[in-house]
Amino acid sequence: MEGHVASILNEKLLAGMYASYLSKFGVVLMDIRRAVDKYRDIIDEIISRQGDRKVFDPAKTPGVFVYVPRGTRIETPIYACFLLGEKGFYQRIINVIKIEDGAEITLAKGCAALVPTGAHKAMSLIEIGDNARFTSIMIHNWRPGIDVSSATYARVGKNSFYRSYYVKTTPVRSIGSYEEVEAEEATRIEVHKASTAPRDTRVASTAVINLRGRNSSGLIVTRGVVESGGFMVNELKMNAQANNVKGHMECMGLVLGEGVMRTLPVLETSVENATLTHEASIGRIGGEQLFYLMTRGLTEEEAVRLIVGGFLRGAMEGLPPQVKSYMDRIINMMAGKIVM
Amino acid sequence: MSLKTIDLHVSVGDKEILHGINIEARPGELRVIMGPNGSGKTSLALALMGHSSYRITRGKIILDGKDITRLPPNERALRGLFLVFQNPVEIPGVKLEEVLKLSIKKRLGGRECPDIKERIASEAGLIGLSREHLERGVNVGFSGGEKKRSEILQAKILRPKYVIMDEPDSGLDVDGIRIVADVIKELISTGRSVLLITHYPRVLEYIEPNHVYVLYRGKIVAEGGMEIVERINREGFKWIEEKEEEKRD
Repeated sequence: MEGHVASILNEKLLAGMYASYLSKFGVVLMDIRRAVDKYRDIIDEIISRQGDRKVFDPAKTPGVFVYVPRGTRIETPIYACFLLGEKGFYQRIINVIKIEDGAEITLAKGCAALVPTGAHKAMSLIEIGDNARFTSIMIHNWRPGIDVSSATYARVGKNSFYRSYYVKTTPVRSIGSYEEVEAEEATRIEVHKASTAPRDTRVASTAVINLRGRNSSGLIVTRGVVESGGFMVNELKMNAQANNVKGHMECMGLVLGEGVMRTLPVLETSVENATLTHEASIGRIGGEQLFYLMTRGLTEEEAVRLIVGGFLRGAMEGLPPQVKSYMDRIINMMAGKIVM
Repeated sequence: MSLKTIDLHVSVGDKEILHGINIEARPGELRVIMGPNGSGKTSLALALMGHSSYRITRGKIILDGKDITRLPPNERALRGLFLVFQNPVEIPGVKLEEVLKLSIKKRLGGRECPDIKERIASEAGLIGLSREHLERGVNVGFSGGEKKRSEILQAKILRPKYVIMDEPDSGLDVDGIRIVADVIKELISTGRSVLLITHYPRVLEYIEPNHVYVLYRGKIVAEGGMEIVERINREGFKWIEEKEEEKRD
């Protein structure tokens, strides 16, 4: 029964008024199982570029298909959500997103669980044309008995801008997220991630940027907070494959109590002229910061939450103004759930 | 009504750094603690505010008749104590405006202050801080002078009963020093008490203190009025050192 709830919600969203509103701009947002017939060429082409990578069958797997035609610019974010609604269910999702040349959109995706246990495995294949701008916001809102795995593979054309923001707001049993983006000439890629690992939670996150085109640049910013009994590993890789590229990675972690955090930054170049840098730190909340806020009347707990919120917010620089205040509230909620 | 210390002894680790301090700050008064570098002025400020590294081994801190010696910093703050830090920390991602709003809400017992955003912006403008400073993380990317102004702004907005100012004038230009003096005047004229810690009496060219203490090697070695400031202005702290050497001999 609960599984049906999830599919009905998605169906209503994708086939209802919202999809019809987007269609006025030529934007397609629909269940990928229905899109397979009508947009087979686009979907097949994107899947064929995945090489040996194993891809879920879009004809049999739920997910969304998003198509934004050439030159289309929409300020309002496009929303898609996935609900895990059947206890113990293993949910698989495949999303295929095609942004044509000169298009500009923000895609906000949310994933949540209505049930205490289950598994969710999602794959997103994204292809962005030349002179395009794409912002992706992903908000994960799971429950402590859920296992999650998500993978995103994106190819970004020349002179484009790709930004992705990821936040995990609630406890989950385990989460593995992988994001790999390829940048062509003069393209800018940014990957921003903020996560917490509460007790009994295992968070593994990997972000890879391949700078394939000359004058391309990349930025990976992660902020992680590990509570007592939590575990987090962050792997970041910046790969220079063309001359005159620049890449920077910033991986910061806060450990509260007896949590474990591991950070693995990798810089790799196969060309002569590339500038790759990284900064990484793992530490505890500074005693002087706590004291300062307490002298302003805040309790230790309030001060810790304020500092954690500020720390996580550090990964969210550059968010579009239309979602900034919403993200601020989410970050405050994440910090408010911190257990010391 | 006063903030006073009685025979206050403070240690950091195993080392005693303040040896039996007796001082008092009263509403509507400016009291000054002067002393050379390393005499224990900042340690005294941090001990008064409840910093956990500054352990009170003997004596008491009394605030308006109540013993606050064992209270945590936040409870001291809510009872009216405020510290203008000499070197305030940076707190990335936490806006100064957010801290002030929360702090006021705590002081109002959980009630929101409706016009606070406008008041903060207006007071900030008066002391030379822009809207952009309020939007940044606390002290992040602030110059030395801007940090001082940010501390002064908080004292103005929060209107605490007792303000300890730890070298608020160091690193400020003439305009900045005048602003500090004006804020001190404003605070004491509205019944607040200011305990000014400094080793450089420039700010006292604009405002006369009610009482002056001289701290040297963790002890109050002299006290009095403006004549002490004038002598320090003329001779520095050499006479204090000589006087203490004589005592030891």
